[in-house]
Amino acid sequence: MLTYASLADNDPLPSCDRALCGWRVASALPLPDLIPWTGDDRAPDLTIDVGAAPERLPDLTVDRPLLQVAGDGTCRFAMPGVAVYLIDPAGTRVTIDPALPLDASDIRVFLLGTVFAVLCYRRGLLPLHASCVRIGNAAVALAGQSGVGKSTLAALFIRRGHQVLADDVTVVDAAAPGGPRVLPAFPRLKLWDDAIKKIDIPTDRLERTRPGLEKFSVPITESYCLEPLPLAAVMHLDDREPGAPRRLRGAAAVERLRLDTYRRGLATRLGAPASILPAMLRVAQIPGGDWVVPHRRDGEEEDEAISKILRLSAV
Amino acid sequence: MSGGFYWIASYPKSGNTWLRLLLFSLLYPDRSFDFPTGPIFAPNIGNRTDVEEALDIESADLTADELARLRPVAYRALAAGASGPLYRKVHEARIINDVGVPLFPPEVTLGTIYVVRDPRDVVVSWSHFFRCDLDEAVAALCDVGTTIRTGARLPLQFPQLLSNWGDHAQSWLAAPGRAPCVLRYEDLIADPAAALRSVAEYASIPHSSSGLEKAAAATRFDALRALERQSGYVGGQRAAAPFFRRGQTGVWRQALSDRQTARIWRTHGAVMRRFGYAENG
Repeated sequence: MLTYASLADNDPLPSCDRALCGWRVASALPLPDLIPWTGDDRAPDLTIDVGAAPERLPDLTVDRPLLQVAGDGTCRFAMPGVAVYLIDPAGTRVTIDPALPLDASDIRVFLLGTVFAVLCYRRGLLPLHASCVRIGNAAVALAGQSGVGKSTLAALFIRRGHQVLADDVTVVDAAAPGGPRVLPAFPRLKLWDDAIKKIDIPTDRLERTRPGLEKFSVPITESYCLEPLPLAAVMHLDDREPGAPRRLRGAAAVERLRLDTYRRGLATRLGAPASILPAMLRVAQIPGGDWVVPHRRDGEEEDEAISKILRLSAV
Repeated sequence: MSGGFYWIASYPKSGNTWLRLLLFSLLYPDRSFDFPTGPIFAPNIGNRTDVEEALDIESADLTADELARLRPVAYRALAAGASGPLYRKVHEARIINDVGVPLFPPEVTLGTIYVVRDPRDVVVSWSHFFRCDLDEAVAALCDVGTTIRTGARLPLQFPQLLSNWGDHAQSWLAAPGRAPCVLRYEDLIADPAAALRSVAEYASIPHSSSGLEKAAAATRFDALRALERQSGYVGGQRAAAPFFRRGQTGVWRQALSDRQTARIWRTHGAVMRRFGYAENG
């Protein structure tokens, strides 16, 4: 049985009570990105505390440059100069060994990135590399690789009066009764300064996601969708695709979902394919379908992309 | 076979894509090119995918220095996990990061194929590709700070530091370890099958004379141009410009002014001579 020294063992840490994907999160780390928990009185679904992390986990089954997985399923993810994160096998506890002050935004960036993905895989959820907007009473995921313009497009959807459920990582509960549902994550977009200019928000009051990056946390509280919604369609944004959007079916849709799964290598390293593959098969059969949408990031094309996505989602 | 990389390195507009199409044809004689989205063989090392796959991390969350430190870590991990050679296209100079580690680690380098082209012809092709005038193209090839980046703050590919034309070539020729296989664009044009044979021998790729000839025939410029007209080709060129343009040598004689050719020769003459390029062509 592994135990790691944790401050929580002997020190009642000030704890913030927040919500993430419907989980109650008790955290020793300030998490201003997440909304306060307003649900029932349950015990926390996820506990985030602070403590020392060992250099090496025992009985390694995965030994990658930044990631170790122990024989019992414990994960250690290390971002040099920022923090080491230990995640328990069930995905219910994260212990952070920080190299920076606890309130440094850098620590949250990797917590809500790679570590978030580990938690999803541990819980049998499918994290898509996608931002997610509400169209009518359904969720539409805008998927694609880093830099393709997912967050910018989400921001432009907000400008047109739409709500957003997630940015960059869209968590899908594919086994939900009634079909795959998107679990809303938290009300903020991460936008680069050039994208922010497009939506006319002054950057002077925004927090940089990390010092040294011209990438900002943009709170979107008023445009955030609090309720889980059925996933109607996945739009795979593609800068190299010419012509008109095309629908993917069957194996092609599953393969594209695999490519647009967030940190897809993690799924394999964590032994998650057993739950992820059925999830992708279910998502490949959602009513609105999977589409490859040609998308280049200049103003006119973005407006056009929104019209195209609205049109495809109306089907 | 052990894992490691073959870097197909060149300054842009020097025939890198063409060589990769030739290699693709040689390796997969029964497959057609993946037009219009480009060859899947030897993806660009500037793509974020390699780093994100190897390190389980979002590369867009890294600072420039972190990225430069983590890239060699990622490439070592990829090589360790590979069962055979990995081919990558590289336009960057052979860069050393801020802690003295080469971006492209010699210990996981199986070899380097360096494609070089007369910089005066590169300038002409560059001006078409980037839709800039010839003076700007000449300036780019003479500037140690020349970097490929797209307009957006978060480009799909990492910003790629090329340096100037001569320093780029010297950085790769001076790489420690196995000497690179140097291929002149002009020789590739003159006899593609022979040039391909030298690469195949260097990289231990099985080949026959008929296979080499077939690959050469499949990648003739008129064939590629016809394919591009039919399906389009997304090679990063500016809108409406064709990617496969002429595939000729010596066009600079008509295109460049004496002042422009003199500037290139003044800056790069010594390195040009090493590759057999003379002042008057």
